[in-house]
Amino acid sequence: MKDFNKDKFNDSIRRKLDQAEVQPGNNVWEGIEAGLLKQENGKMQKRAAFYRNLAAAVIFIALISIYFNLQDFTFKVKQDTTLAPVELPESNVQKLFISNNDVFLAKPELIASDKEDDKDKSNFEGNAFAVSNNDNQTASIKSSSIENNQTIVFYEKEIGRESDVFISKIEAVSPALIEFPKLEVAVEEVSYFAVSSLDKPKKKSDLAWNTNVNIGSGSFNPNSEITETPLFSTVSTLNNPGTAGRTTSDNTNFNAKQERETVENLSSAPMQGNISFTLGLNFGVILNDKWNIKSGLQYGAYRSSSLSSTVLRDRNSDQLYPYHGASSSTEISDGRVVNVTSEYELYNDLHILTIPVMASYKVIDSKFDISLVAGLSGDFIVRNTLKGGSDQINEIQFSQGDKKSYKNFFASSIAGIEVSYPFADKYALSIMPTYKRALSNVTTDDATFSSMPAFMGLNMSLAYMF
Amino acid sequence: MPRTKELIKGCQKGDRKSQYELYQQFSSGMMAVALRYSKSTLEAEDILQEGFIKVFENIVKFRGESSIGYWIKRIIINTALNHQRSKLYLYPMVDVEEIREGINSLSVDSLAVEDLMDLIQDLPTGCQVIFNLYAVEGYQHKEIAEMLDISVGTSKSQYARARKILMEQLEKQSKWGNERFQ
Repeated sequence: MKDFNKDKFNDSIRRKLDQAEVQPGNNVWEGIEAGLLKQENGKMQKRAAFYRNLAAAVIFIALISIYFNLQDFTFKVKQDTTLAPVELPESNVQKLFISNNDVFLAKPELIASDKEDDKDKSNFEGNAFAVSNNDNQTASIKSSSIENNQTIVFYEKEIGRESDVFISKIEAVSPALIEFPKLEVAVEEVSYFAVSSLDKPKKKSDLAWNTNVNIGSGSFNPNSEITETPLFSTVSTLNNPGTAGRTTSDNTNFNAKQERETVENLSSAPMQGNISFTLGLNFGVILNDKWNIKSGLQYGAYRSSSLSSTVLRDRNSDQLYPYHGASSSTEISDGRVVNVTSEYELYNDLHILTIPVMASYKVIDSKFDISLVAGLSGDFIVRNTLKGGSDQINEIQFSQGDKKSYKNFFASSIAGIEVSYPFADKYALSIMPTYKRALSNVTTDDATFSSMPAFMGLNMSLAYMF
Repeated sequence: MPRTKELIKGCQKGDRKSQYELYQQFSSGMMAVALRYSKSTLEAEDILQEGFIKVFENIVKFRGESSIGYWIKRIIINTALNHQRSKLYLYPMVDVEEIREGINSLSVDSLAVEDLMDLIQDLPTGCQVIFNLYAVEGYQHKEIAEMLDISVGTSKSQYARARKILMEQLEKQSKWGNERFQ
């Protein structure tokens, strides 16, 4: 409304219309209210769905981590096992308390077997060893006649006396010198969660496992990188607006080159990749510090679009369908003709299930790990829909068995760089820009072109390492 | 005006009562705008409904740099244009030859608003939109061409065509009125 043109006719019309007021029907406000409610509900549902998905992901990862923790456990010996002293002649008994800091030294050469008293003690059997405490007192412990009520008796070699020893804890025993008897101790409780605190010596060949959930976004255009296109395809069935139109079967004697070129141009506007969305779950095996191999499932919704100036018109029902020379030529059949129209937006939606197998090699192992990733994938097109950006155009949905432009399956190669940030020992957040390229033609023999499309994407993932 | 400001604040908070009051205040004027860009009352009501939903959705962005009435009108016009764009014309717009200006300066003052609305609604869709944008809203042909993604020539010729049709209709009505009067 920059510069009103000075014109009596326009002025008078504008004056008249500026004053105009028309009362709308009551149903309009009802419609507005319903629309606003729908929007509010939509927002709430989106928010609820986000939290629900987040909770599901957390629960899923928690369940997986619990499951793998259950695969390894340790035993906890009954803590209140009592040590009962063996009765010895009072003159020979000296109470020596051994603290946690005491160290077992060596198996004594001489055990109390040369003493007459000892011969009477039937429970003085087994091995014996020496013990030293902080007061530099050295004693030899003999006997390990340990049963459920354990008894440890030692013989103090230096002073030639036997004493009771109350042992609260034994540690730092040299296994080369001491042979412990087999303990028959009842297992009272099993600790499942003690595993992470144990430092298991890892061999270099040990395999480790990980899993990750990832979401991604990118751009995929199935009609890109076109490798072959026919000069004049058989889809050139132009009927000028207002004429009856021609079907595919008509064009055997049809030689209107100019007309054909026109429709080729109108219906072959380039497709452009729009923003797509992927969601996936991978499992991986960590071969060593550098190499990791992973595989899983990825589901992607990919949209590409084009401006089209042609539609398919069903002559019987007069229904209109989106038409793009490259991607919907297979839809032309008897009774359907191509009509030139005003320009409209055409959307080509593909839902693809991908099974990738990727290997990654860690090149930088620091606070942020950087890995080079490469692999192959099998891609299954589970759904292909063509839509027009107009209420007047019906959508075309191709099922698996339909005659269509794209194959049900194709293989691709993948390359990417993964930057990950490990945290809390077992988790890692990562971001990975990827480039994916079909290894073969993705279109069927019925399609009017061949293409080996490329995909650019950015994946974010949360990994858990077992 | 202070009441309108309160209403805007209420709408920005999502208060349904304020939304209803704001709608009541502007719905009649906006319905007249929607009618100019549509072919029927039903279609105009659709535009009005869709437009007001957008108004309430985006009112948090309204900073008061223009009047609220003007801001709502822009949204209604844009909604109407989108509505027209979503329609598919099986017959593409073609340029018509430039029509000589000033056949006569028929006055529309004597015409009732409803009749004028009817005449505008009867214009072919392309002509109708361009006539409204140029003659009523005051856009220049270059701006219209950018808005509708057409050439300046097409905008000019479509406007000329609309004007010619309107004048012919006005002339007919005028003749019919005179005959009736005689």
